[in-house]
Amino acid sequence: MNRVLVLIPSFGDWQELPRLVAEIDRLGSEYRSLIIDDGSPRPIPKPDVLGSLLVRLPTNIGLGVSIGIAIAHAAAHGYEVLVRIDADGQHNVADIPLLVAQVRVSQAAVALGVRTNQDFDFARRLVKAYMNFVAMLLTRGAVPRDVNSGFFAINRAGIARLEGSHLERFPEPELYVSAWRVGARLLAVNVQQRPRQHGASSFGWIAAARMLFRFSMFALGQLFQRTRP
Amino acid sequence: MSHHLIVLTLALLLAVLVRARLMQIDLSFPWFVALAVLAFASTNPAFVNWLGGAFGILYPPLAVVFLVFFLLLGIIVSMAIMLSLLRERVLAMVKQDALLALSDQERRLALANTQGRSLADGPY
Repeated sequence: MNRVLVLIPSFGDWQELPRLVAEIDRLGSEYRSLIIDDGSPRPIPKPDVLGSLLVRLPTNIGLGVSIGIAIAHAAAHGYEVLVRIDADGQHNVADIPLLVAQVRVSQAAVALGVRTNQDFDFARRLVKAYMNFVAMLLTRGAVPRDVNSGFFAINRAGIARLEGSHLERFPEPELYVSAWRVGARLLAVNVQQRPRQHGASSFGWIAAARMLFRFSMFALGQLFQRTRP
Repeated sequence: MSHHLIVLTLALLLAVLVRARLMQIDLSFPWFVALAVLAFASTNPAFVNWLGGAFGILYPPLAVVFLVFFLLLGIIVSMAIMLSLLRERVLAMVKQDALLALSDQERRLALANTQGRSLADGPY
């Protein structure tokens, strides 16, 4: 019985997918991988693993929509836990059960993989420091540091609360703040990030500026919302 | 006389765009019509003087310029709202389409599990 849905959103990152899906399959029969091809220039081929799901979006829409689709699908099909990992192989599949265990046994609805071996350039460090600071202010310190981490697990209660959330590009900080806003407890799980196996990061100065602007607007909107119950 | 011709041409162009369904009436059309009417009216010095007096502007043609700015801003804002709404609808449709496709895959996998047959080559 598949109870854990592992989302792997991808835009053109296909090289690592067969290995990732095979590793997820080896975690046990309760794990099912879900690849969402976010309008890659060349359609991502379906990995040769029986039981994995693959859906292709007609055009590149943004990570937030892929996460929204996964949350809605997990809710509709009764998955206990939704996990998200990167398609570039930076997240260690072996860490997935750690996060899953945390949202099963603890009071937390969201377990966040906090990277302990981050090695970012100046621009990225600056953006992440700003976002962490603002997210901490907004949630009174309830959100673990590293709000840009794309490695997380959400249990059924969290899925139900986050279903219908409006997420677009660069959605992670918004997702974690929104989770706190709807009453979900967040927990940090220390993980080691692996070096990127293929491709290059899309994070440049323009992406950083867009991310900052978007998150600042989101944070501004949060200030005018009612305080958390 | 030439300025009348220019305004008339622009108004005709607007009508052609609507006729060819390149511009929908329910989008920014009222703003464009207001702009065309203003252009026509602005060829009349009496209207320009009246407008300047109404806004308390010492140099009356400036009132027309400000009004044009206001109408252009109206067009931009209404276009931005329409585009945002359109994008929301597209995203909702894409999401719905993806969820239907995934539900179909889940159904096929459940069927395969109950019947004990492989769907490795099945269409997804």
